[in-house]
Amino acid sequence: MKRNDFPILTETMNDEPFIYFDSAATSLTPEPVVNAIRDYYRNVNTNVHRGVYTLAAQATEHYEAVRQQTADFIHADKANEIIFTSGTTAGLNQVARGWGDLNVHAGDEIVVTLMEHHSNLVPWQQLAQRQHAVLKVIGITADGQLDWSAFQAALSHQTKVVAVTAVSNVLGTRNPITKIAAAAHAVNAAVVVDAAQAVAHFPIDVQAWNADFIAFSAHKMFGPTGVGVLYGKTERLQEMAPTQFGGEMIEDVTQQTATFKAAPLGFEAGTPNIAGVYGLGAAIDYLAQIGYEAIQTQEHKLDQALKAALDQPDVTVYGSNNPFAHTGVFSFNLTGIHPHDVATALDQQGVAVRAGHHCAEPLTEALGVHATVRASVGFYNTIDECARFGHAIQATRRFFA
Amino acid sequence: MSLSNLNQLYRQVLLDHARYPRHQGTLPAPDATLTVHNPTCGDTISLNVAYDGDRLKQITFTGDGCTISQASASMLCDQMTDQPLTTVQAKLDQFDQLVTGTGTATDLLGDAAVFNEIHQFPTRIKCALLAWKALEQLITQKEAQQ
Repeated sequence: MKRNDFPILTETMNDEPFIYFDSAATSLTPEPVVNAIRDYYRNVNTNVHRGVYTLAAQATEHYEAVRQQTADFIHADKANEIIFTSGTTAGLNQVARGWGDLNVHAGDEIVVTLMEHHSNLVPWQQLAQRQHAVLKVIGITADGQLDWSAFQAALSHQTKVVAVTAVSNVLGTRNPITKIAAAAHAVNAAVVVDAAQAVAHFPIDVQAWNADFIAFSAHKMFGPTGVGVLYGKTERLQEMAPTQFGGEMIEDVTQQTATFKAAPLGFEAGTPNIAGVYGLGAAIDYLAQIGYEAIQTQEHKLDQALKAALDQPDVTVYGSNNPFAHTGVFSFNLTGIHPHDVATALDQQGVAVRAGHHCAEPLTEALGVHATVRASVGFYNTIDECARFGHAIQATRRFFA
Repeated sequence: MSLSNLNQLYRQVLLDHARYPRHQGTLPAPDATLTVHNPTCGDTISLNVAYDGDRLKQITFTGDGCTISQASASMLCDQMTDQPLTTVQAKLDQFDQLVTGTGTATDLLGDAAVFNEIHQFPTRIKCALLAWKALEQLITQKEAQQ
């Protein structure tokens, strides 16, 4: 059973068996990924793209092999379309500044959705302010889906960017990226996808999505923190300028000027997170070994079990009524009990959840609340854990009644 | 059972302050007001104060947030109403030490002494301190103006 790959799952927390329901914040890291990072430091530990000696060449070779592996993983055309970043946030900021500053001008429009995490909202706010562009935020329907008619109405030939999350980190809603990209491309807008919450749950196919840029983090797909991926179509990467300058990314440097390498190395200034890239490669292997089909089969059951666990008096679940529209993410509130108090009570019963606005303040406000409790699962969670979570909620309600 | 631990945090007097907060509301003519947030959870407290020389004459709060932050604000106002500023400062110091687990003196704190176990719940210390830190800021502002 794959649960053994995650030693934390066998721990106790506050004298109760530990139930980890915060995978939307960060997924747990399986032993093979931990081992890959350890192997790098123990057996390789050299810099990439620099040394002439054998061990350095070995690090470079592996680093570039993971780039190819990542390209294959998301069905990108070429490995050169894969830029290693420090995470989703870094990738989205790179696009907003490096591409946005050159391609979005005064009066142009940027379209985002109310479902965005702050990291796919604030960089676009900042871009709009720098360039005197207009930021349009598309709302959601009562059941937490993108307001499609409002989205269509917002698009025009003024639209230069559509930035959208593949999966809401609060509601679990999946956005129809292929359809969104087609509509955006019809007005010649570039499509930027935040895939952070998607990649642990279903395969990403950049060909099917036809997005221009896609960002995600390794630590939400069973890899390590501090490393992520920015995919860009070759022609879009050619329109993007580097935003960080230094080692590895330059071609020629004189006292006063410098020229830069093309993608991807031109966007990877400084020594990258090499151990992280080893870990990312191991995480992709791990995902392949488990298989998205098995992941989805298990998550299907978990979604149903979570929905059932939350089906009790005084519990409000946000977003869709359909458990399968949640992608393992359920935000909820207990009437009259603040989410922070709920989270503390659940913690005392061994259940780790998140409480707050989940880095999506505008969405939380639109739900009419200041904060919510969020339970989010990964394939390593069990039906039994969902049932115990339901009982823990019952006990919490009784405690505060 | 683990929920019994919760009784150490959410004692009756605290739940009572959260349910029936004292000194909630605004002041007709406050000398100063301050709104503070806990950005990680969105809790908000607004304090309104009126001074009479070196006395904190009146203090009220409005806000939204968890049981701990709201009860703590209620207790703060209870404790600080019509107190000399030297006493206010002494109470602020004592409370800070109590909730961070660096001191145990509670002789000045009244109901607020109930927070003596909160250092066992480190993620909630910020909630308890929110209103008290706001008052500290207001006192510092007043001193700076003098």
